[in-house]
Amino acid sequence: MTGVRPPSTIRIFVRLKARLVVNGVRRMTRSTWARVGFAFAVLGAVGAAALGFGMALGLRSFWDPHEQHRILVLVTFGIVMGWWFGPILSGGVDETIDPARLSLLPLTRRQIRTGQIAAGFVGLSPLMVVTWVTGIVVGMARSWSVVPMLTLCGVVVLLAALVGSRSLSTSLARLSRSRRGGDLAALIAVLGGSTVFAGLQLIRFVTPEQLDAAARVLRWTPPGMAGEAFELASGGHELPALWRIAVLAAVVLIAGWWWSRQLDRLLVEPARRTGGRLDDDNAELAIFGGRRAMLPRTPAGAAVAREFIYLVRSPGRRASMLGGTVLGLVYVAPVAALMGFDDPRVVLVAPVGMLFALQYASNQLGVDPAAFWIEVAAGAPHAARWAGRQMLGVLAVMFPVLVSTLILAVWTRGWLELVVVLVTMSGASFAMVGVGSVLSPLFVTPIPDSGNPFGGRQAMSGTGCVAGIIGMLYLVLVGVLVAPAELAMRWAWQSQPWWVGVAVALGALGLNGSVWWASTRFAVRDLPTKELDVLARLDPRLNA
Amino acid sequence: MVERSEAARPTPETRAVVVRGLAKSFGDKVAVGGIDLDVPRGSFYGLVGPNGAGKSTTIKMCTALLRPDAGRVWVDGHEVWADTHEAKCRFGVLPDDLPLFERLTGDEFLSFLGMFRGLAPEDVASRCAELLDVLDLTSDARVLVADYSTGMRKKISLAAAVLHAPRVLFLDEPFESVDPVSARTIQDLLRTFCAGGGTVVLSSHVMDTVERLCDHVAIVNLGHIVLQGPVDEVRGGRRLEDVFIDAVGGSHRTAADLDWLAGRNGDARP
Repeated sequence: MTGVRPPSTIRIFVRLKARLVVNGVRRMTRSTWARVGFAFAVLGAVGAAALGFGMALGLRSFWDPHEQHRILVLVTFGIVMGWWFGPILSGGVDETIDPARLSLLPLTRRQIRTGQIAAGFVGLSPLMVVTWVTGIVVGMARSWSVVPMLTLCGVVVLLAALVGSRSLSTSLARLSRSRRGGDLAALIAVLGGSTVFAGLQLIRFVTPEQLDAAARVLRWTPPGMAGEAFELASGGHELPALWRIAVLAAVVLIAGWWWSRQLDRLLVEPARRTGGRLDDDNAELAIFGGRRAMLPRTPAGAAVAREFIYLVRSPGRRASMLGGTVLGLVYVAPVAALMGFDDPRVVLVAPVGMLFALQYASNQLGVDPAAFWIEVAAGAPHAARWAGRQMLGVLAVMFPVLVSTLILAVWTRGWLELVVVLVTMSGASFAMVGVGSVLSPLFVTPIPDSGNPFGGRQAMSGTGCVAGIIGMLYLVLVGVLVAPAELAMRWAWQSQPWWVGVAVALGALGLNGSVWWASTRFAVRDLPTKELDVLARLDPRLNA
Repeated sequence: MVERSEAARPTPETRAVVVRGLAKSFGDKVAVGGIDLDVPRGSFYGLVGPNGAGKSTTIKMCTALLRPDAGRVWVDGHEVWADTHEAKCRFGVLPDDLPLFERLTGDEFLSFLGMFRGLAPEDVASRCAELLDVLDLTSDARVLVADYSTGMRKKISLAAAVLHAPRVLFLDEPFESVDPVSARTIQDLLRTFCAGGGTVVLSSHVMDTVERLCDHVAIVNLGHIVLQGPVDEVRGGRRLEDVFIDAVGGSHRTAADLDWLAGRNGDARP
């Protein structure tokens, strides 16, 4: 016996998480784009942490008691909900919570739980939130005597955020083991996440009275009660603060119990077959079965058929389409709010709703990257390969635009604008995917197909940030393509003879069609020179 | 006779695969350090070597999946990196890491690939059915590839590699993680392929398999070919495993040195 005590499980988990974070950063040094993304992520996190800390410190100095109450309730509620849904929506996969990686280890349930909680506080985002809560504790401390109660409140808030997040992600992971369960999990995550996102987007349009109304409701929720507890503890009202903290602590215990139960099942239950046996049909070629029978029996037809199949069967892609549509709608809302919801012209901003689906147009080669080698090895015609990806891109960008456009048109009775958007986008979507085909080999970012609808694996690697930056730049390009055509068409159809409107529409379609034709032609010629570089950048070992 | 890598250089037209001076480095690490290979037509050629020897990298460079830093490769007379399309029509490949189209069923995967290979739809249909039957996958043809076992994935990948009736097959560790029944099925298919004039280049570190299946072998170590030639000549009357260990050099320490494992250092076992 050596006499040296082995490190505790908590230390092991914390070291493991820290090592995973550090290795993730080291691996980024291989890619300039990932370095850029990581630098932005660090800057953003540090800036947000400093800003939040500073504002929390000045809570008592700059806001009156009424405003303090409102801010504490809303911010505490936001912190807890953000931690619950944020990691799921960002596609973050924390390997320390992956039961498959833990099932071989001789750990008790208690060790796993405590280890995972400790590991949960390691990383940029957790440190940012811990900084905010610390700021609230320090900022609200009027005297040393209230510090213990404020600290207790802060600890319970952080535990509620973390344990709730673990409980939710473990439950969703278990749910995701079946196809329908995966869809339900995606729906829960998207609705929860889009509510948080909508709150962040719309907060600047909300009046103080509306914020007060929200705080009055949210103060009865456990996180809102904890927000009030900060205020009460700061004023020396220990008992009222304590029972509010106790309510949130009860939530922690219930969430912890549920998490433990789900974790146990995940550890011992085998993964169910995700798809099972699919129905037979009598297609002469399986790839052209069902409604795909109408497609031509060509390589391009096969490529398009494969994308149709993936749209239906890939949980990640279904979740992405659903999330892209809902979040797109949420993104359109503040823009429309700025213009006024009673103005039919707000329909013209509906194309902004495609923001979260743009990667299917601008990053076509990054979709399902692991199997890209098969196309390279098969030496398939490049035009055929682009045909499938462009079809996916057109569907991906058109669907959220269609949903946003219809909702805004019905709301504002902007029927002329509805037609303008549909005509414009039917041409512009092709121009976008054409340009996207040229850009995709240059800025390819892997979007792995995963059985886990939230397993985008773009978080914590900088690639998600890069994808976001490229997406924003691409949106500017889209604006250049779409906005002039929309405005010209609306002007022509509103105030000119009918033939002018038709001519403008045809002109816009022709222009977009030319952009699509020229860029696709370029992409078809260009791909052979770049596909090996793309293959190397999509190597699953690099992106695991 | 056993050839060293500097040996005579036949023209590509007389061999199924010819490799000259193939090299690849990843940063400071030399994965393949300029190798030459000559694979006779109709042969069953084994590339053997320890882990990290450069076998998979070599196969990827031979199949236009990884661009070499230097060197040339001819497959069935077509230079892979100059005449890539023609070369790809003549070989099939089964890589080791096997990322496939997980959301397609087995038969959809094969028919998709058949169409991508430019085969006539009726040929694709008949070949898919036959391959699924031969590889005992017919009953799982409508199951997603994501739900396939490791052995089934190997078999469907092999079916994808031979679907277009290539002249040369490159297989990276085709028998790894495969059960004996599936391994026998794959071996039978490969023997049939060779009997019909096809050439198989496979990598493995299982010497028994290589000794039993292959008629030619190249031993790769640290990115270089140490020995190559007909199996019987390379063996020289010994077991291939012994020749292999002599060629690549064994570890300077053995498992027998692990005193704690053998319970020789007095530590109490839990």
